[in-house]
Amino acid sequence: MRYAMAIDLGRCIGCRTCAVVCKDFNAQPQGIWWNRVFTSGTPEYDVAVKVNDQLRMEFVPISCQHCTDAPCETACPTQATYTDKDTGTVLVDYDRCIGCRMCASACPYGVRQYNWGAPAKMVGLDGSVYRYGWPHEYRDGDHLVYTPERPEGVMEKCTFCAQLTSQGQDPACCTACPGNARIFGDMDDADSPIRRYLEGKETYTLGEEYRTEPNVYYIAAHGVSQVNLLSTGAEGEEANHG
Amino acid sequence: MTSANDTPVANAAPKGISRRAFVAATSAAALGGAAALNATTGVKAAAALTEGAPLGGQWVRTTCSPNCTGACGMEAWVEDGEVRLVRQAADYPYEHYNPRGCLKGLSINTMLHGPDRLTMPLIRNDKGEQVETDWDTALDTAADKLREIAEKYGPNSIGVIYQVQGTGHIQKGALVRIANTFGWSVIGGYELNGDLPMFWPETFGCQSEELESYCWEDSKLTLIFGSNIMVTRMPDAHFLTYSQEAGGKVIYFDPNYSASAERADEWVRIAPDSDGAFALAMAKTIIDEDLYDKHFMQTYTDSPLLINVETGKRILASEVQGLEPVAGVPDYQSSFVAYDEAAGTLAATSPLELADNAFALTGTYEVPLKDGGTAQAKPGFQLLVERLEEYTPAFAAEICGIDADTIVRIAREAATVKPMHIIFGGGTQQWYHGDLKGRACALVACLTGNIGQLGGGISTYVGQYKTRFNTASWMVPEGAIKASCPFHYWVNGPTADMKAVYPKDGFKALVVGWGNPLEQHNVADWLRTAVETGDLECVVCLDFQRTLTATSATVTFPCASWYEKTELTTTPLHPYVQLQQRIVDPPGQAREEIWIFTELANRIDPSKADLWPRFAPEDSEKRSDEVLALLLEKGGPTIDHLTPEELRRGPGKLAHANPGEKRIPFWEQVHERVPFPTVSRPNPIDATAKFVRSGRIEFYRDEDIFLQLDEQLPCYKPPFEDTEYKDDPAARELYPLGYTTRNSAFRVHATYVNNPFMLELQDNTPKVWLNPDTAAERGLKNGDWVEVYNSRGTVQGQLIEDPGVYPTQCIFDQGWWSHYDNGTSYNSLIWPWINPTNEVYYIVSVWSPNMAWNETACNVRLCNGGRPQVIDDTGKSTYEGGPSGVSPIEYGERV
Repeated sequence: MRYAMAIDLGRCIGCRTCAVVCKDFNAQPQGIWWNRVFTSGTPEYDVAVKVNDQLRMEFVPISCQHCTDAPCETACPTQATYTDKDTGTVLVDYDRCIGCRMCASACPYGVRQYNWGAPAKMVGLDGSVYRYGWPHEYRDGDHLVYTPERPEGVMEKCTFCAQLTSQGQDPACCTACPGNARIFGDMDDADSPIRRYLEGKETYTLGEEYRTEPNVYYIAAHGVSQVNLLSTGAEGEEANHG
Repeated sequence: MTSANDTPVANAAPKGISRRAFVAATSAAALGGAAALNATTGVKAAAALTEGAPLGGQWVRTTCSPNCTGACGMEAWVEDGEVRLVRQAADYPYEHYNPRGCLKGLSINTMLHGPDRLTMPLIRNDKGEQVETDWDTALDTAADKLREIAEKYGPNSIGVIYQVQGTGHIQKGALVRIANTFGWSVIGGYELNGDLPMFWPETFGCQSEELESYCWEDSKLTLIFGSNIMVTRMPDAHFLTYSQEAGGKVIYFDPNYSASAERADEWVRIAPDSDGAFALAMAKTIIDEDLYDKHFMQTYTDSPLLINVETGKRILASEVQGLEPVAGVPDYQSSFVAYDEAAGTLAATSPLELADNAFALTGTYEVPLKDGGTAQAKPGFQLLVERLEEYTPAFAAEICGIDADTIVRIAREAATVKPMHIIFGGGTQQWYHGDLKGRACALVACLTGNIGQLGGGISTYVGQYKTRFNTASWMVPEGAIKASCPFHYWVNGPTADMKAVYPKDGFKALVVGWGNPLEQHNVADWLRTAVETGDLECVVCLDFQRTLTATSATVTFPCASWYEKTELTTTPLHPYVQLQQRIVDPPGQAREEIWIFTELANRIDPSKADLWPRFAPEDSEKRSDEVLALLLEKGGPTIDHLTPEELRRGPGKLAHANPGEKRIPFWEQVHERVPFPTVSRPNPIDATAKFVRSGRIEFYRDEDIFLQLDEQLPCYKPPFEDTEYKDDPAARELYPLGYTTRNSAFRVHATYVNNPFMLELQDNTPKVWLNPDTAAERGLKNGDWVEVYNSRGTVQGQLIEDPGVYPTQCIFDQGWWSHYDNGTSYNSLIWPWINPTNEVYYIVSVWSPNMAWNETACNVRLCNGGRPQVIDDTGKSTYEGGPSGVSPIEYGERV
């Protein structure tokens, strides 16, 4: 069995619902985002980017790619990062993580998120602490791969919502996507939702040059024909593809 | 090994899988696959969330229904009386509606139990400071003030602002009921928010009609004018994607690039406020190339009605010699005249039916009048053709800033690809001449015969306050005194032509439910000043978050959120009636609104006890249940088949008249030939039928003001000329940019502004968007802290250079609280201009002055030396133990 996720960029509207439910369900502290939605070519949201002579706003949700050949796993000196052999999911054992951040340097996707010090608490009613997210720790065997109370100085990242997938549910980002752009399943099972969805569709993976063999598959979005007689930038080119 | 099968995961596993069923062949197959996963995996199942859950181990369903009006089914999981997790219920019978819910509603848990939550009643002490108090004191204080003001200035001097009715009929309905009990002035949210698409009553005679979003997937061509669906209608947006996957095409018209442009097949960058010129040139092309649906125009529109060329008025059958008006026409309709080509004679038209006919659409006719004279007359369509002569594609192309070929190409597509649907957005509508553009777009929808067809027609999705069933049983008590007056007059003062009743001494008190007018409403600064000077003597606020209005009010009542009460919701976006349910208790002293209004009514006037039977606060749920049962029972044929028990279990579908799964607007008119208009609840049909006296769709308006302004037929009028530049000719040079306060992905108006996740996603910083060229002309660069200003006000933000922004535009994402923005208010630049055509009739929230947010000129300059202001006092999170110099915010990049 090999868990995988497909992200259909033709359906992605860049709304960041996936990022927010990921954060909420997995009790990610302030500053930590396992799943982020970028607009290619800009650090900002709601900004158009010149691509050749066109304006575009190409959304790219990025979280852990759950690489079959994961450089973070190779780099980890304590084997805190490991691949679950049953599902192919790349996980981090918080008990073993020493916070050296070698994995973050090794990861070509920049998806690893580090807890500098004790994670921030969210302020609740009348000065109390508000706790959100999946309330119980989850262990894969002996490995502590999820806990709502993050230990100080550990590295964290997407687990494909191990606490949910172990119950037969999809990861939170996949069930929550209002555009139904995220499909989860077992790539080894021809009848799985992901295999059915990908049938006949062309996919690509991120950073193919790194030969990491990601298990997150992207489907490219369609182009946008543009009728725009204005200059799209300093060079004053005309973009008219009407 | 533990699997889901032997772990008590109350309905979680099947549900989690079944919402993906649309990609699997069947949900059964998907479920089988899931079971197989568990059977073969060695992974230990997580501790089930059902263990120890206080409400019987269930995810409990409610409805997320703030002012987006999306009405999304949600489930929450509770621990220690607090919501820990929220997920979409994804239980809509029509599978493509699942899942429904966006990033904001899914993270409401951070605000339900957050530091801005109101938990105690607030009043002002002798020093004018706001202090916490008990319920009795707060209620008595509010009751005494409101009673005094009503006695001194009249009850209609008390204005009432409430969040859109469809988002809640029981608790929010209680505010309407108390206003009607005492004769307070209901200020229509529809017009206040700029969401009243005036072309609808002007053309179709109704408040609005629109496709529920699941009809979008049936369109083969969708033309979107200034509606950023992908951002402002997130739970519905995928239906456009599905239409594309089914071979349909989406063309998006907007001066600025956006997520909706990105997902469209084609983006047409037209100049701001030029949509009307584009649509009129399309109409001309469609008529000139004989691509129009003549039968539709003859049968369903006023095209054949003869107009007296000299007076510009429609000729009544009763005025014509030898012609008998159709019998049995009620006062609010008229029998007009057409030329019957088959009979070769003039004919009286009937507003009572929409029959096939041989009426002439073109030509000039001599009409003998009873007064002995003869009128030169032309059919409305003939005048339309003459009006359109000017709107050649070349002429419109100049206005729109595009090429004429594009207009011709899209006009041909619109006329030949069916069904074709036009989405007419707030970006296009919320201008002084927004109604003219709507009339032009409606003309295209009619010429192409798309009205009354599945996946065809024209829709507006700004606001949405349409009432979908009869609510009078609860909202209109016995002996009701109905009063209303638009907010526009409050600011502008009464006008000579107004039809609404202005309070004799103006407005003296404001009762606000679920709204934050001191931040969010047009001319918020004006309201703040009225509060400060005491001109507005009393503000009573009901909310669950500590807004500026809540902290400025005379009395503030802490209320229940939509996870803490029973409420009945509907939306025009989908056909499902849903309940909000009590999942957790309101925190602290917060209570349900139905109890608050009951107490308030009794304390203002004990003689109203019969209308407002009192109950203990802990019986609020019981009382809400009684009202729910009443509303369903008396709600009429769209809803009376539903029971409270059904709705406790999940969504119940509204009934509609046409056959098939999906409701089709105007189906009865087009297929059963029932005359226009459709009903605009809660008004009786005779109150609105006078808008289209012919019983047809009307493109020709002959009221004096329309003739005087040469707006009897749709036309193009440029922005700012009748407003900003007329008011101050210097504005043309001083404020050369148009100011667009668009909706953000991270807020519903100002709701969710204090959601810590949303703040993080925006780098905790309000932003201002300008085209790089526009910025460079002002010596501004990316990251500068800037000020947007005009003669009325200013707002600040960090500059983002965006080549997608039209060079004459400045964009600010509306909804930021001013305390996050150095005290500045984005609404301080706005003015509620009154277009006199909006004053011809007055029915609150149907035909009424409408807010033109985009009709605002501005300029931009450097502020505070350009140094960005990053919010660090949101109280959202504390950052403990981080090494100094490390940004607590990783999302995006600080400029």
